Amino acid sequence: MSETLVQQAPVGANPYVPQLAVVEKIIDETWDTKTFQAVFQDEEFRENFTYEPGQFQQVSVFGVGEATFCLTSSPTRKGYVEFSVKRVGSLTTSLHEAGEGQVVGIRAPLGNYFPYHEWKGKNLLFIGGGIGMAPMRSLLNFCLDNRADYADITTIYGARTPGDLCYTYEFDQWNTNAKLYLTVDAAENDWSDHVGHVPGYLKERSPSPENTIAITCGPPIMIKFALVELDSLGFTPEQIYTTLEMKMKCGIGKCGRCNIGSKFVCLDGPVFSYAQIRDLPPEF
Amino acid sequence: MMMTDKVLSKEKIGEFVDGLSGRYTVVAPVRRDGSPAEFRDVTAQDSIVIDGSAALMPPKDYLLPRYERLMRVDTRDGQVQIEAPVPEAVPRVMLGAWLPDVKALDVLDKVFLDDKFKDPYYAARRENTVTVAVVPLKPRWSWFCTSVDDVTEWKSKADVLSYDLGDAIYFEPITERGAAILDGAALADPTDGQVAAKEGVWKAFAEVPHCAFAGKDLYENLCWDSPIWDDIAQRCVSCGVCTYVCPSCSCFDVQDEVCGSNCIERYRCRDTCQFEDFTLMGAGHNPREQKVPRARQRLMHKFKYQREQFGITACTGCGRCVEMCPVNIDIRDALCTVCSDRIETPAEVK
Amino acid sequence: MDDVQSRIREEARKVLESGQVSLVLGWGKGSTPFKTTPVFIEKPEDVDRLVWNPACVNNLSVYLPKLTKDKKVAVVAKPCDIRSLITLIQERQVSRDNVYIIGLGCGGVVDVFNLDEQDFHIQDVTGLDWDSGKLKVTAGSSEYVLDCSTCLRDMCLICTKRSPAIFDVELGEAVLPEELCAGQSVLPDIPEERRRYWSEQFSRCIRCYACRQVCPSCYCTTCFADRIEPKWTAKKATADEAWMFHATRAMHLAGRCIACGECERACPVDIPIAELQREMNKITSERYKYDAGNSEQDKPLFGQFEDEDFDPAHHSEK
Repeated sequence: MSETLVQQAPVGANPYVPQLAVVEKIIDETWDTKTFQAVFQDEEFRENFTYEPGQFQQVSVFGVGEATFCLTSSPTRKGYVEFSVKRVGSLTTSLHEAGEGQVVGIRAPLGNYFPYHEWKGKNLLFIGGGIGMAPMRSLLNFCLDNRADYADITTIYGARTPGDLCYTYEFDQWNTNAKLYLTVDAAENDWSDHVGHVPGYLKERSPSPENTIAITCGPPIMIKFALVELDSLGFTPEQIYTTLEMKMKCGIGKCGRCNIGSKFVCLDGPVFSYAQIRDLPPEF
Repeated sequence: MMMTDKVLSKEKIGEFVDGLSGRYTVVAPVRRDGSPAEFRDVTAQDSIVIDGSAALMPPKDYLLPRYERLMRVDTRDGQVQIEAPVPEAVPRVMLGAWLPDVKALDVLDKVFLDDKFKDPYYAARRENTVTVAVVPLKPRWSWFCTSVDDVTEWKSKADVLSYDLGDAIYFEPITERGAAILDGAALADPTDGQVAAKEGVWKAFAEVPHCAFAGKDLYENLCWDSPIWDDIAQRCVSCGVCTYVCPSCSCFDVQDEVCGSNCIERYRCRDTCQFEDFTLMGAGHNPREQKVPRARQRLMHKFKYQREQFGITACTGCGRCVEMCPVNIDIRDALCTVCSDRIETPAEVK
Repeated sequence: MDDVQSRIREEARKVLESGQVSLVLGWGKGSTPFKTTPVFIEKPEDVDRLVWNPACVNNLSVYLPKLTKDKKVAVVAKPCDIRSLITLIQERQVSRDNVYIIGLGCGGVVDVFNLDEQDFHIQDVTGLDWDSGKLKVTAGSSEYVLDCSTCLRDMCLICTKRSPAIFDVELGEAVLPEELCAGQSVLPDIPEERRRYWSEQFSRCIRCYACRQVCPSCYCTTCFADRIEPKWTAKKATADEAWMFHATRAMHLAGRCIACGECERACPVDIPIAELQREMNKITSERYKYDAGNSEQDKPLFGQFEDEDFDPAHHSEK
């Protein structure tokens, strides 16, 4: 079970001050989602920057504000960090519209991370929906880059339509020495893969819980039914992990906003096992 | 350094402040007509109240100002530069803080001075500050300190413990740096009568009758499904005053604002879990949109969650929320009910 | 006012037992003898929780829009609370059919902060009552008879409308205090001085929004002050942002505020917010001959237009 894993030292003596980073590349994922690749301006900081899969970052668009995004890139791929942004409000729209070359502020890495060191030798089952794939992608690519450490790696990933699937350019990687099963709620164009909701597809595939860790992230309704399926397949709450989301401001456990009971999503999370979530108040 | 008690005649308060001003920045509650007094940097000329007799905004308003610039971002010439000036950690003396307020600093310290992410702004104002707690001549009617904790342990929370004797203030140094501020000419050695009077003032405070919930395990009794949340939520108008005047509530918001043609200011300001939009997320989901979850959050955070996090109860019984709530939601009543021991008014316990 | 209190309870019992209403909203005993708290009575056997004394300060109309959405409730109401209710009815936030008004004649209610400044200790107070235009306070073993000007809520001192404007049942009598204050404004006359006055007042504002939350006329789902886009006013508690908030709110309340004074009672730092509203009310009264909360048949001030309306461009004021 994952206890709160202490992460590396924060960005500097003043934990509120971001590091400057330049957005060097923007990838259009879907009609409302883009992935931003940012490079820290300070060379020394950039060279020494490390993080763990599952951690998050606070991205500043100066003048608009700061918002929380997971670190969707894998720490094995150095030199840049990535965050995926769905356009929902003023800050996300600002990011989308400013384009490549914009300077943002980043405070990272924050939060705890997936206890992957406990999972060596195990099978990993990723169950993702839509942009919920973002936090898991960090871990998935990390594990694929450390392939020998893990047994089977399987991903079930779905979205409402084919156009809502993210990271399509990595699907081949996720299907090499690993299995990727895609599904959509409603097919379009020349979609030839599975059609149906993710939890339903999970049930069809019927993975064994034997020596397996399941990681799930996606819309609440998808998670809800995925949990039901995992339970009926025999997965225990200790075997299931997710990342939680609450409104955040400071990201360092001070502003009081993101607590669920006595846990702060920014300090004790965002990674939680279902065994831990069971003990939390039903707040979210 | 000798740790001897001293007494200050009230007409010499100005002289005392003057004497300290050479070595320290003196922080004390400044009187304001009608409004509660507020902690400010003061000189001997200011009208201050250090005997605990006036309504008082908590020390958190000084240590964590309601509006605090965190950084300035300059975007001239296409370059982005960040300046984050932190207040100077000058030596300070904070006079006249109520004893429950000084105890509440324990909570703020745990939040802001943790090892992982020490808050430099809070640290600059807090770490080099000598605290002088005051026990007023008569405990305020709304105080229920004795019901939330063993107050004898609070004596060690301040650098100096002071007591109002009516015409004089009695100072009892607790720490070395507390004793260091008591060497001025304005101070005198206490008489036996004054020592006895001081004991009387402490006794009056320490023997404030308990509310019915005192000693009951609040931690165990506070639960998710308690009917008390509905009762509170029905009356509550979500004004947030309780959290604003609470000495241990510290939730804040961070906002960016354009402050010139090429400059942006990032500041923090007060926020409260009682506001409807506190947990509102970008995509529209809001776990605490209704009043019941907000009512529940406030009490459970104060008496349960922070106890789980830090091992201390965050409420120190200062009674401000009791005095200020416009609809008379009395936290003491709520806690009595939660412990299934409803009494008509806590004041009846005599 | 024991007699009125018994009659309130009787009336409440009657309307609950008959099923006329599903809830009675009134004041109940507070956690101290000098306070009351709103109570929501649903069972006839609970009506004895209702009280009527000078501590019944709250303007209960603030709860009515949500309460009367899908059911009929009875409300025990002072004349000022009823004027708020009239405003809510005019603006279609409450349906007259969904509220049964137990209207009370009033002698003014107490501001606890004023009570705290008297000769007795507030914690010794065990009773408050009206007494022929004065206020009787029982503290310890003594009885004090105080002039109303010492401890009533500021707005009560100038109130002349002490009988309920509309009601389903009227209980009690309006009592004017022996000395009714002339109602002079505390504001300086000269605009520059007045600006300085308000700057000083607003420098204390902590942006808690208590004034807004207790006001029955402030019922917007999202207040302008909470909007992010556009950001009308920053959240920080500085004097100029406070100006923006209070001045805009005063404009939003022009012609809609009935000057109950709850805003300044709720204010933790004693800003005389109601003074600002009284100035607005003076202007709407003089220019448009309109006072809020008179009759539910009235259209809201800014929902009507007459040719003769004051037009500053044409200086048609007398």
